[in-house]
Amino acid sequence: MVSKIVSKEDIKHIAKLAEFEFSDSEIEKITRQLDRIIEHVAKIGEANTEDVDPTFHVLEVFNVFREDTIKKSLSIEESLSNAPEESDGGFKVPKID
Amino acid sequence: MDLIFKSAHELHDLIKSKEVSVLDIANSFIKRIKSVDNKINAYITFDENQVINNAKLIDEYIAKNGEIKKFTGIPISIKDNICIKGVKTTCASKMLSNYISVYDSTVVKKLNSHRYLLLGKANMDEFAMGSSNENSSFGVVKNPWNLKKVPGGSSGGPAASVAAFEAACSLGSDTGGSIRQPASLCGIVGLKPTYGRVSRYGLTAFASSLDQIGPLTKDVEDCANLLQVISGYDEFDSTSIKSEVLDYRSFLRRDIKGIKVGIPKELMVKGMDNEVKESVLKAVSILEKNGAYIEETSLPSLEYALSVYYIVAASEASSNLSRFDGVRYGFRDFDSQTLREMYKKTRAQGFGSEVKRRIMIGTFCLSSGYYDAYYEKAQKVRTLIINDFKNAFSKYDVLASPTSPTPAFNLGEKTDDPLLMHLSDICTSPVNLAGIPAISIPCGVSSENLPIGIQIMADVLREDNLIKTASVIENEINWQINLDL
Repeated sequence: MVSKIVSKEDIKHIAKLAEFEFSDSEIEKITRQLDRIIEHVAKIGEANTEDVDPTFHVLEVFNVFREDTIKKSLSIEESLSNAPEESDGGFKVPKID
Repeated sequence: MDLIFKSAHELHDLIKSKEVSVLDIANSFIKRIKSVDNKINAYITFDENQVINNAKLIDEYIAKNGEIKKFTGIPISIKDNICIKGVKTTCASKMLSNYISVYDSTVVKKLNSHRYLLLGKANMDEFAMGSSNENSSFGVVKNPWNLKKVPGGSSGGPAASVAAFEAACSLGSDTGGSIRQPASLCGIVGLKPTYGRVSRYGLTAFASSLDQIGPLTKDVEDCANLLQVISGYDEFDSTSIKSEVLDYRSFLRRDIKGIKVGIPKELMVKGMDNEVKESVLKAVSILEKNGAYIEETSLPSLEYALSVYYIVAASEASSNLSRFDGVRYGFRDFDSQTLREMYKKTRAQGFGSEVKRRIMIGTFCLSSGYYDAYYEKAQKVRTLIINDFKNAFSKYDVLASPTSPTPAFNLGEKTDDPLLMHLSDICTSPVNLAGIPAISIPCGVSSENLPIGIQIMADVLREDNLIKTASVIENEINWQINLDL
């Protein structure tokens, strides 16, 4: 099947944006599947949306503000309790490249 | 009669009249889970000793004349994407297989105020992405009616646990049908509340503009009671609504004379199973017999709903799931030498294929050059869908449709075709896009002895109309769960 909308190069680029690592065979498979899905959902292009605003919230709820007061929150120990690695009260990660 | 077959409100009456202790109830359900869950796989986390200890604590509380509320001592399963302090929240993913919640979700806090009895954490599709519960890294869930069939998804564990009498009721989450579709396939009641009716604080985010927590129960009365307990404004969820919570139970067994019911022809889809169609129309005729006014109607934009749903849900998921990077919690690839390598390997190994596929689609739809044609366009078409519903609810009190176009399908039948799988959500996903509430209740059985569900939809914050109409159908159908289990 020839890709129509999404190419292998596109998928490699998207994978980079999403911080994924795929093998060549996975890239092939994902390209095929995404191309088919994107082709299908591109159907929305047919809908007439001239002068229609996009929905960013389904109900008319606006930003909620509160007083900037200090409240109880998680302790450092609780915050770190699921950390894969920690050091001196912080999250430890491999060398930043 | 064995306690496992009782509804939550029946158990409440037995606890209140002191005919049974919470420990009696705990023991019955533990026995049931131990005898059938090796076949169903509804639970990811189940700790027998913990259940017994908690049951004893609740009994002590009752013995000291503590108030017995609606869910005091009621055995409940909770979907494994809802946080309970000190308990694992895996989201059925390798990514979170060891994650222990450090706080309670708001819905759990509310149930705690009733001193409910937690039975365990229920299985699901990984990060709630799926319609068959075959995407769990803790194994597939089977449909209690027929072990060769899927229970539906993504709340397959919550639905199966209730249908198999492994829990009196359950809490699930619904992003495109994830409560209603499995409720339909397992022959129970499931309700997705209005967006913002129930706090999402402590629910692992999938698609934040669509997600809602809701009840899965054996009957409409339990549904009304559980909805009432979990509803309400929460300062920890800025999208929750400041609106009074109704006494939903008071809408049971009401007169529905003159109520207007619309049947959207776009949801009586082509290729729909004939038995499903017949059962749903039969349930609609019950409403008519009780004085409702029935009319076919059209919501033309629903034609685009599945595509809009796919784009919006995947886009929001790609953003929400960026937090799983191996830094603060969850799985990490420890062999990586650098941070960037660690991100990529952690995410490649920690996520399953459906989750990765949706993150890829979402990243594509949000990426430079495609945003306008996909994400923004989808949000505009979503406005059209919302307008169609608004228009419909200016004429009708409720809309009715099938919940799922087919009864439960075979395990493995759709796993290789993401698009085909996605069609299961055709009747349910428009509801999430519009933020309106909907309920699924059982309305018939197929020739293969599989349950069929009808979906009833109402306008924003009109859950009362769902309870009213569902209650009338339920009273005439006299539903029974019949299992060889």
